[in-house]
Formats: sequence, C-alpha cells, structure tokens
Amino acid sequence: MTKKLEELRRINNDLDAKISEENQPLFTDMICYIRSANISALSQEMVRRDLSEIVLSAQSRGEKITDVISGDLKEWNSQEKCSLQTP
Amino acid sequence: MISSQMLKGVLEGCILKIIRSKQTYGYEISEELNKYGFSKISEGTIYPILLRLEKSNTITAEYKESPNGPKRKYFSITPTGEEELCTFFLSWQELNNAISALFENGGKIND
Repeated sequence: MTKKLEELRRINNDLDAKISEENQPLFTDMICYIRSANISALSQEMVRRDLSEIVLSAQSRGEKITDVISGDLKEWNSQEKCSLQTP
Repeated sequence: MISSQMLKGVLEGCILKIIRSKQTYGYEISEELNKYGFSKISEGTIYPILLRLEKSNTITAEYKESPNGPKRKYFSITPTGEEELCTFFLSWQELNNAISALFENGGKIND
C-alpha cells in the first residue's frame, strides 16, 4: 500500500507541475478541501489524480478551471466530500 | 434552462444511461448530456456523482491512456447499475405520466 501511495504521490506531483499558473490557486484550494475529507491518504491521492486530469484536459482544450468547476467552489467541495465519505 | 433543484433528482439516472450506452469518461458524458438538450453540465458537476456511483458499485472505472496528458478514467455500468437504471426509468415514467396528466387534465399552465 505504501509503495502504491508513494508512486501515486510522485505521479501527482509531476501532474501538478503542468497545471498553469492561472489555474494553480483554485486547484490548490480544491486539494486543500480534499485533504480535510475523512478519507485515507491513498483515496486523497486518487482523487487528486482525477482532478489533475480534469484540469489538464480542460487546459488542452483552451479552457480554464472555472469552466469545468462551475458554481461555488465551497459547494462543489462539499458535494465531493459527501461522495467520498458516504458509507 | 432546467433548475438545478429539478436536475438533482434525475442527473444520476441520466448519467447511468449514458454510461450504459458505452464505456465513457467525464468530459464525454458532459458533451453527451448537452447533445440531448441539457444545458451545459460541467465535468466538475459530474465528477462527484461518478464518485458516488463508483462507491455504490453501480459503475466501475479503469484508467486508459489519453491523447492529451494523464491517463483518463473510463466508466462502465455494472449489473447493479443496470438494475438501478431500470428502477430510475420506471420511476421517471411514473412521474412523467403523473405530471403530463396534471397539465392535460388539470388544464393549461396559465389556467
């Protein structure tokens, strides 16, 4: 499990570096909310990877992070945490 | 434009229907919904729903190479998901019939 987690963190750190300067602040906020969810470290990194892919794909289409995360960020993170923490 | 409150009740079922048609991913689901007449539903809106569906074993996920950037998560429906979709559709039919009857037998919207 630890090896998998370490590998995923390495992948995610590499992906983070590709997120544009414009999108970084909001992306960082999203990750902070994920860190506060009551889920395992591995699950956090898996979600982090998913979100990186969403943002990087948006960038490749010429879109900004606000185009794919519409609405209130707090509300969005609340919904995401509920999805992750639902038993 | 469909209100978000109304959409909340049906979006999960609609997403399941799209996934049932073929293995697909978040952005493609967003595009498909738009094609069917839903106003733009962002990938960010869809993602928490996909998480819930995956957690409840209604869909499964696998990562595949994507042409741009990191591996992409593709979703497929499970047997449990097929049952859920069937239930959703029956509920929708019942609701649709009731509302249609209300507006037909209860007069026009401005009455």
